[in-house]
Amino acid sequence: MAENDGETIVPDEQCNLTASTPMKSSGLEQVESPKERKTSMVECDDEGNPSSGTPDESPKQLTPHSIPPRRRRSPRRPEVSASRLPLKVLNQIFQYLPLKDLRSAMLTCHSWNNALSMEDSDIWQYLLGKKLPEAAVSDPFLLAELGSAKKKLRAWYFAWNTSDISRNNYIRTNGFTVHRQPVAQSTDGVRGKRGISKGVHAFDITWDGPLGTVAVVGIATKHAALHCVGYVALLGSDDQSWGWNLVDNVLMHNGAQLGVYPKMNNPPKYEVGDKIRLIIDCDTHVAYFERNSEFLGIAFNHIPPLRLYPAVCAVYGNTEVTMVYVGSPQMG
Amino acid sequence: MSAEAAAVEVQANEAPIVAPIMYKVESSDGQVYEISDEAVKQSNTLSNLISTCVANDVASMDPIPITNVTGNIMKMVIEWCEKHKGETLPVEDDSVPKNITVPEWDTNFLKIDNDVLFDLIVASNFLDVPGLMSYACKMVANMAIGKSPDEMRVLFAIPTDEEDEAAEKAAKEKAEAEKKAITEKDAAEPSTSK
Repeated sequence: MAENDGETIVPDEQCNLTASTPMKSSGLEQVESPKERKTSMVECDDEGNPSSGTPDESPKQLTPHSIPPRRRRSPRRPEVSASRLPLKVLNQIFQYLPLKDLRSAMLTCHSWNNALSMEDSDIWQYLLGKKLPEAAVSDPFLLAELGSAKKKLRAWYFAWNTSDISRNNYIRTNGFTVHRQPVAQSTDGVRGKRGISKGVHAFDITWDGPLGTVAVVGIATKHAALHCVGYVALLGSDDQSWGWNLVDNVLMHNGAQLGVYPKMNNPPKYEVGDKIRLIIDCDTHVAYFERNSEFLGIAFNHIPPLRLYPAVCAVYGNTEVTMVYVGSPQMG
Repeated sequence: MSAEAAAVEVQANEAPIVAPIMYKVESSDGQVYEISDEAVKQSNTLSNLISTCVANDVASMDPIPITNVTGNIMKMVIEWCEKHKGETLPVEDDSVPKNITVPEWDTNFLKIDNDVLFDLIVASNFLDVPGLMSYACKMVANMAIGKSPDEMRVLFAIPTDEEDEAAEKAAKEKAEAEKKAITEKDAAEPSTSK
């Protein structure tokens, strides 16, 4: 029995010694390539295991600003690693990264995601000031409903598309409002910058200025036409678009009228300046509208699984339409 | 090595006509380093500590203990401060565009192992050396630009959730195995005595 006990103890010690050796050797290396770093990471994991049995060693005190570790870790693991930098340090690193790399950073680890999830941190404030036009930032009403710098920045990336617009329309300097010029016998539309194909998305659309004989809000694929001759309800005239004509409250798709919306007797006329919220639910393939936060019922269903863009088309000269993306609507 | 370095530093410092005042700083592992009064201004933390301890005889002062910075990192911070003594501290102003260009000397100074670089960043954060902080963070950002999340994890040795859980599980199994071995050993001894 005593001999057996001796045999069991000795291999453990050998395993410990073997595991601890590579860590020391890797510490001597000054410059590591990414591949070697991967190996170093594995060695670190191996090294961490045997020392967990020695409670005597306690990790060094981290700086007061350190983010607390996500889990209890082996004391032999590096006290300072990129995933456990203080928040102030992370923000200083992230301020030098462009937006695409910030997205990669958000997906790298939890602490980086937490740092970048603070939607009014200096990083998002800085990018907001850099990307958005001054006319949009200084407008007290335009983005008032969006509560954070990050949300306002996101709305900018969904705003009207200056490159996907009828030639008789132009986007005002705030970037969120389309202006139709007074051109006779022409119907002119515009699409948003980014289409959606998954999830639930809400767009706030406000029509400022008279509606004329045609004023359609709706959704369109990339291939829907944005211009035609005459005064036509262009959105909804083919299978690539769906529209709601605010003038006569009629829903249109594929050239066919789908009925009056909201579905009631004598639905109220659109008042200029009212806020219409267009909600597209790609997961259940429906779209509907709210007016001044009042749900109006399902407008379109059985929408095919395509990439859909918010769109409007107008015929009245000097009329203006503002569109602000608000993300997922609050269900209530 | 450190003694020779100190001797060289003393000789270099004696070259100017007016010898600078040298303060002593002690790292967490007991190493004592000297930093000149001009270089101290680069670190707001050290400047505040020294300005609140008014003393006539600097030579007889005890070293300032910095308990959460190790010796090799402290040496690097002091080397950086000595190199940049006399320079104006960068001001955190929103109007200034944040496209810092890291000078050549600092680029070479910061070409170190990533683990050491992150230790240096945390130390410069604690000692409040804004110039070193800006350059070091810029270096890290330059590494991260253009990388995917997986590449960032490899580059900065950040474990994924799966790796974290696997390491914890292995550590737990290891602890249980050791506990079982101890239990068996204790069980063997009573039977022997009986």
